[in-house]
Amino acid sequence: MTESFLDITHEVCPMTFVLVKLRLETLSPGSRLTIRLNGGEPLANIPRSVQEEGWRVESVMEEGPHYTLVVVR
Amino acid sequence: MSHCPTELLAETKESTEADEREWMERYSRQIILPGVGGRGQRTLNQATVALFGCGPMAIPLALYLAGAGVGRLLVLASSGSDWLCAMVRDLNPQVTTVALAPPASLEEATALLLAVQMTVLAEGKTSLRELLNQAAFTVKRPLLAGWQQPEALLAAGAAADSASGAACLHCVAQSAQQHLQGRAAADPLLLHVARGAIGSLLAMETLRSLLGHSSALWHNCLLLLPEQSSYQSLAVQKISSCPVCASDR
Ligand SMILES: [Zn+2]
Repeated sequence: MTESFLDITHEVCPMTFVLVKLRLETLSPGSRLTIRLNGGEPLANIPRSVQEEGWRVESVMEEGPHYTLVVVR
Repeated sequence: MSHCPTELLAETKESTEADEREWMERYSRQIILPGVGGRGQRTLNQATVALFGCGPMAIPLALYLAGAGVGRLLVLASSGSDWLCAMVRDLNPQVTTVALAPPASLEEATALLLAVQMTVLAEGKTSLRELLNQAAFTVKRPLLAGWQQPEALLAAGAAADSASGAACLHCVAQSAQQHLQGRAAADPLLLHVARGAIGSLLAMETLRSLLGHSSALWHNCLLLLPEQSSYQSLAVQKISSCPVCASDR
């Protein structure tokens, strides 16, 4: 199990999900990825897309101007 | 143009962070697809496809494969291949294109099939289809083909791992000919335009196959009847006296 972090607050769709997906593909099952993302479109789409790929969303939290999404591969 | 496929094996160069970013941006719309992802996209980028033809069937086929990022396209045609290669590079400069003369012997054909992941025949003489079918059967490599008859356009394939009892493309062509017997010839204009549809279908099946999915065309024949605007799927029986695959039971 590894813990890793990805900041996609400077990205726009579809690169936001491209970066998340490529990173998750490299992680071993059970690994946890913490993603910092913006509200609006990324917050609406990334958790849903992650679940559609079969990965588990552990939590979504508001943190200052951004959000933190924790995904378990 | 050369016959020799030996120089076609992949040479890999170190990719920089900027290259990686360009790769992600170019293929972003495909990487996000559930059936592709980063792994599938790299599989396509590392694949080599041999494409026969440069006419109305080969053009959409080549362009769809190039757009999807198939790494190397070998374009085999007796003329016109340089022109098609230039069009492919215009669309996606990351695709390596090689113009080659079609193989003239079974030995050359088998060497070619063994050097690539997929071979697609987009029209050509019956003798070329027969040669590629013989080669594909001999070395157990996949082959997709589209061709035209006066009544219809046809698309069919033979898988690499064909079970014994599976029909080869010779059997497919014979079955299709019998099926079409007695049918009136189609309007040449409709046939001409419909060649593009078959080229697109071949592109779809090539990509499916490269990504590890089974193709609906394996040992099957799809007929496009332009006069009826209809498609038919023809279940193909292996011919017991087939000169190519009869020994394989
Ligand atoms: Zn046969």
